[in-house]
Amino acid sequence: MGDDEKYYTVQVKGTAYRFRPIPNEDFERVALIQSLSTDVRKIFGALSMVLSQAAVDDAWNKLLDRYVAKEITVKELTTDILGTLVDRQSADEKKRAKASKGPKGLDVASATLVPADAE
Amino acid sequence: MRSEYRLLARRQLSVTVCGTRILLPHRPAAEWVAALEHPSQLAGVLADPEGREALAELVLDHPGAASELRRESLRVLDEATGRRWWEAARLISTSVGTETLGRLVLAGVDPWSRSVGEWVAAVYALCTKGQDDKGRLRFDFMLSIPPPGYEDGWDDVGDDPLAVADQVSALMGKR
Repeated sequence: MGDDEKYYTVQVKGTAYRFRPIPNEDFERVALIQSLSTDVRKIFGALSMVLSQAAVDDAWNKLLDRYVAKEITVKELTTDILGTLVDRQSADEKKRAKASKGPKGLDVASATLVPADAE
Repeated sequence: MRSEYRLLARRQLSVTVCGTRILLPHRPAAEWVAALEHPSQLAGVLADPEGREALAELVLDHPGAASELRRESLRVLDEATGRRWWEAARLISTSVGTETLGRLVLAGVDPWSRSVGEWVAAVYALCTKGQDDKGRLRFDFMLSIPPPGYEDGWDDVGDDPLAVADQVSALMGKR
């Protein structure tokens, strides 16, 4: 696990779970399935596909155990975890986009005086 | 060449995603307008419940299905309206503005009884009513400009650069 790797920590009913960033296309895929289907198995399948790949330290298996034990629901997996991850990743992307602009009106990408590794 | 007769049709359309053909039942213009809130999922919104579940299954099982659904959604809008999908989308977007919608309603055009092809044709007629040739040409040109990424789909008058130049000059009022 590299020091510079980004993780998101999400609390679900008192327990924290860590996830790697999820590609936007995966978020969109889950959202699309949720909009198309009323079948909870398909929705859960989509969530499993995305969260199992992003989960760190066996987080997904632990969440599955809690789901099977009926401690958490599909809705909580969707809103508490996926929804939180979407919001945080979006916020981070906006911060990065804003930071890349530098001082107002200055596009850092086109500035030649500040080397890229000086940050 | 697209058949203008199909604009009046009340028939099923179909989309094909990952080799699976999904039928879309006939829907009135009002439902197409509402579905265009999410153009990339248009086919999913217009499908019946069985079709939507089939599409969900395809998106779940095939990574490329979402983009195929998007492509097919735009294509079926093209097919149903007889126009490039972005032209149809712009006309439909115009149709829900207060003044345009008001004029359509006053003219007795009911979006719940008209096909989306008829609705788009009515909006176009309203927008170009009273315009001279130059005005209409200008409107057609502005309508036809594709969104970023779809420039390849822009029809010009074939490979004749002189004809294109004439068209542009006419729009700029230099004739």
